[in-house]
Amino acid sequence: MGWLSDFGNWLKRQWQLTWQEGSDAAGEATPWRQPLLFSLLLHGVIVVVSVWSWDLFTPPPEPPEAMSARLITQSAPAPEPKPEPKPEPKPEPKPAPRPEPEPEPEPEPEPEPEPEPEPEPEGPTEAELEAQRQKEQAEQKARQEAERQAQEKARQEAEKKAREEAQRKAEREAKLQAEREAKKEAERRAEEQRKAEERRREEERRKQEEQRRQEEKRQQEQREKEAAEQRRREREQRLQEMAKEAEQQERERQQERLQAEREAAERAAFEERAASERDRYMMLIKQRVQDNWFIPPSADQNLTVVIQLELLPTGELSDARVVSSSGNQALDNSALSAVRGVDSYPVPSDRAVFDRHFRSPVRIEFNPRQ
Amino acid sequence: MATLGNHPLSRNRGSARTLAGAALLCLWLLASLLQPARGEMVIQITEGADRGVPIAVVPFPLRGADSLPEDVAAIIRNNLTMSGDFKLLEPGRMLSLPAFGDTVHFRDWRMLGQQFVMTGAIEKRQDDGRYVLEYELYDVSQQRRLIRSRATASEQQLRRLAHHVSNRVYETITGVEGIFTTRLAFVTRTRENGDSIYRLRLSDIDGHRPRTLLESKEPILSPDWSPDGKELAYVSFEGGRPSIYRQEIATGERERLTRFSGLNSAPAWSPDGRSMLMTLSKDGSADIYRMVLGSRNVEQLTRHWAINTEAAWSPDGKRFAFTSDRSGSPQIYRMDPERGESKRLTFEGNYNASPKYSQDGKSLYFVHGRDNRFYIGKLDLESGNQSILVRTPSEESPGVAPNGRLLIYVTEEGGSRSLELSTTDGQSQFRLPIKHEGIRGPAWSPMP
Repeated sequence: MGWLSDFGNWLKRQWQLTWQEGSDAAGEATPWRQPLLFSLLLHGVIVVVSVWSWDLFTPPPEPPEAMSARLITQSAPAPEPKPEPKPEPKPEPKPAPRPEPEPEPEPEPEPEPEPEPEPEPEGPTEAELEAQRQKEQAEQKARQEAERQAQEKARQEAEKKAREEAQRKAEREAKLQAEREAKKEAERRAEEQRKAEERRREEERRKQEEQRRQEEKRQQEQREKEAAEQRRREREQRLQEMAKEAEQQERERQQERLQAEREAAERAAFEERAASERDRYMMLIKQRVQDNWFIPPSADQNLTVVIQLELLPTGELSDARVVSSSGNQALDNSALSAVRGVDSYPVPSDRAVFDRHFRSPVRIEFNPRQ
Repeated sequence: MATLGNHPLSRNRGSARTLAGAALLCLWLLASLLQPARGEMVIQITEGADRGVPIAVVPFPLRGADSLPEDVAAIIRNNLTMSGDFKLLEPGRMLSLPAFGDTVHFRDWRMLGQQFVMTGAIEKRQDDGRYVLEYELYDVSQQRRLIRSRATASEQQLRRLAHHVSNRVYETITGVEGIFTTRLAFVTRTRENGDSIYRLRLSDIDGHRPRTLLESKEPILSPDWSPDGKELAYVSFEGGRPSIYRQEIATGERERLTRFSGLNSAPAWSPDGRSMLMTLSKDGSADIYRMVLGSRNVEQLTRHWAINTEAAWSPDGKRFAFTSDRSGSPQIYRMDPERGESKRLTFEGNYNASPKYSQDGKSLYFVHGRDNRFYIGKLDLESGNQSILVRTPSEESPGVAPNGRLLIYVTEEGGSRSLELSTTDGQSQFRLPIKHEGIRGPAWSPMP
């Protein structure tokens, strides 16, 4: 059982190798590959072992004799390929590199047992004849068989030897092959890894590119968004400004309206006050002039003289003249004397009131009532 | 329809509208021109100072003589005061006594409240001994000279000169003709040697320069001036019976107009001077008659059993007022001699008599008796309003100044009678320096 230990060592090495590779590749990519490879390997081993062990354990059962005939036919050409062990491993390695099609060889043996029961149901139909013939044949066969078995045994021995040789050779071959395969596999894996790496890089690049594009797109979008935002903000600002302006204008209008109202009120108040002042001072002026007017006896109620006065804010008389003569010289003169005889005219001290009512000429109608 | 716009009628309508619009515009423009400018104030004054016009008559310096027989400035002051229209500033209160314009400081006079200042100077000419008065009148308020004049007079005429200048000043300031050269006629009664002596006298309006026109032991009544001021008519009881006379003032010549039996009284010269109203009772009752002076024909105007007397012509000579007691008490009536209708004018009180027309013919002055007292009353002919002006002790009618500004009547104070002037509004009185126990019937001459 030395090969088992070899196999165990190889397995172990493979394991370690695989593990190592896995651990090397670990972290970066494909952690799943390790168990896969391991599983494949294990399956390969199982297949090999089963094939080998099938080979090993199949001889004991009887029924498989029929099969052994076939095996002869198979084994006959087998020595031929001996000198060419190389082609042999070829079909063998097939299952190795392709662990997946492994189950296919397994079902192959299965159809073989099936034909076996078929002859049995046929036998019972022509029982006697056939049994006779078979008996003869069996006897002949048994003899032939014995001979043959002896030959076979020798041949088997030789064959076994050869086979073992071939086996060993094959094993070596297989081992080499396996190594090569392993190497190949490692290369392939490395290649794959490289490719994967490339793909990964490519992917990364693509991703990066994508990312960049995304980023650019995002940035573009961001810019657009920002621009839109900016525009929105500007629009809002404009709107706000407009609103503000409108508000300001409204405020100003309000202010103006208030101002106008206030001014109107002030004006009205002023007018009222001015009118009141005007009336008051008109009365005072009238009184003053009246006190100074000496109605000439020649005047009567039919005569009226109109004098126009121009007053200064100081109450001084700046000018007085007859604007409408009564036709009576004495009356006209008396009126002029009256207005000019007033030392100081009572006028509003408020300049605005004065300007409003006393700046323009003041007319005085002198009409004696008799 | 499209041709309607070109229809002559529609064109006319359009142009008429345009014309109407233009007319309205013109009217509006005219109205706006006639109206006082907007904002211009108009003050109406209907009453004046309730006092005389303040005037200062500065004493006139004399050159060429030591003294003046008459104080001309004082006469002028007196005249203006008498008129009732002025308030004279006493010379003692004057701040300065300027004689001419360049020395008149208006501020001073203004400070003294004067409206007018009269200055002047008299020079006695050495060659003819006449006096030359140069005078000026200033309006203080207007700082304007109103009069600058020169007049000459003999020593005897100085008073008359003063009256003349007074008239000038008065007229300039009041616009009314001055009465300072008019004269008064009145009758005085004095007791001399147990007899009553009646004198018809004349004087200047200020009572000065009196002279006697007629002297009689019999009563003289009711002197009346002829419209030309050259004659007087009066009633004289010479010979024990009343007769109406007319007498030329200048010559003293006189003529008896009536010597009817009964009453011959109250002569009233018509404004045209051609006829005279008088009261006669030759036909029984006392009635108003009109005598045409040229023919001496007498025409009875009133016919009533009651007394009708004291006729007074209206200034226009179209009607006369008289006193009648036909209503039971003396009342004043008016009669239009052409129509022969008479109308009662006074209704207030039981004694309204002796009417005299105002110078403008709008009112009557009369004697109103009440509670045994007499008053000078005034009747507004238009409204019929009666008013009392002054009190008088006499039942005689007042004399009315020819400028309508003054009345003259008899007044009594402390048992002595004198003549008094009153403005026709009764506001101002001035007593003349003529005092006689029995002074009567003052009559105001017309303007000379």
